Amino acid sequence: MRYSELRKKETDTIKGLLFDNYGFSMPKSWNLYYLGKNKVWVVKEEFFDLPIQRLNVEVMGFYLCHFEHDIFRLSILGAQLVGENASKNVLDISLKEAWELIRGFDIDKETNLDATYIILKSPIGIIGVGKNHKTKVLCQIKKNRRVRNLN
Amino acid sequence: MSSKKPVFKDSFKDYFGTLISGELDEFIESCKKPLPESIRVNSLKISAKELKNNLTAQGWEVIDVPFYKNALIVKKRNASLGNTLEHFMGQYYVQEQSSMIPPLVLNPKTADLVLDCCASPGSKTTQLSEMMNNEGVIVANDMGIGRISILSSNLERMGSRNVMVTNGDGKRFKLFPETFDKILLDAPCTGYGAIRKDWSIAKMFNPKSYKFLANIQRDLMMSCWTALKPKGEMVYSTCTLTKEENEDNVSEFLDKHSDAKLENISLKGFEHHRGIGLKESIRIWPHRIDMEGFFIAKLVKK
Repeated sequence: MRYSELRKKETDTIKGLLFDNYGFSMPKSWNLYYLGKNKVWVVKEEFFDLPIQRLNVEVMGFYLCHFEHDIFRLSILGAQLVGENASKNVLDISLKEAWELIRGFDIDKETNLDATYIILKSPIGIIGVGKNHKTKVLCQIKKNRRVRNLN
Repeated sequence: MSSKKPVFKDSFKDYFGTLISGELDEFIESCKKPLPESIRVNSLKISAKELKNNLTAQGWEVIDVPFYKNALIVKKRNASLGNTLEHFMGQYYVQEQSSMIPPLVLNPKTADLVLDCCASPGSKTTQLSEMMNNEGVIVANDMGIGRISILSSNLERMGSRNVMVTNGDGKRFKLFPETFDKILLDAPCTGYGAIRKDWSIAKMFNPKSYKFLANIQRDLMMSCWTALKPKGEMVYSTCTLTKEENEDNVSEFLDKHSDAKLENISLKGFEHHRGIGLKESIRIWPHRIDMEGFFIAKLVKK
């Protein structure tokens, strides 16, 4: 596994994006690393007490977001953790709408929100982020996570 | 079920007839019955009570599992277990009751460094992570690279954040002596305890298979033992029922390792489900208790 710690400037940018987009203050304990191209993971310090190279590590910690110069998209788990304490850009959706999204469909809905990727909160919890098209929310759930059959 | 009718070879009947004389017919009959469906509630995301209420409101019928507060048996449902919003959200994991026992027996503490040697698809890893409240560190290893992505996907779905996923043969852990506080070795096995899930397993009964796998299991046990810290604890489990892969392996291991002690497993409801000649361990026969066949032993390093 190739990994590299984010530079301070990059970490500060992500902190800023989390705060500006969602009103979320990133915990100090979150150490940000690239694991794979543009994929930012939160890695516990304790992991580095282990011989990472010799163990043949594939992944560690949790996938927080995709981060490129013009893209900042939270993972499902990232959205769930951020969304618990987010103060803006959270869209309440119905169970029916949540079902549409987890099956891979976009939904028609006025958002009145300004972030490109908005956190989607269903009555039973946060299901991830959707791409905000003002009158439409585009599904961002990867194919391998979608629910295929209803029964 | 992958096979329309279960086929039990004479060699299968002879073998298990010797192990459980007088109960063979009951055992064979139990293998033909489907397993009760069960789920493990992910307390990192929701309480058992809340999930139970939510599912009941949707017309499901779920009942508690006596030995584990975070487990539910699903008696009636109106959707496939893997295709619900709650499953998508990681509020539960579809997991057989027996498979929940090894992590309970290992009982990790929040600061522990734990090795889950053969981790994929992650049912026990995510349970360990939940029990540790995402504290400490779990090294979740699997040999199959294809299985790593399934493991990673389940870790993300269940919100397990204290896990390092590694890929490689579990036998290499001897290269990391006295590293881990606790080790779960849920070893690759012939899977005869899982016949109720897949009848084709019965057709594949072959002494060569269990002898071959018993060798691998012994190597894995020895390797993991080296990686265990003094005073550390290791749980060895399989979802099979041959004596060679279970009690014989543990007995031989104890003979060869003077620093190993077999610890009595006390789990409410399993007092009478004991290993053959190893009363400290648990052996689950599906005709005696309505679960998948399993074997669990706990070893402590002096």
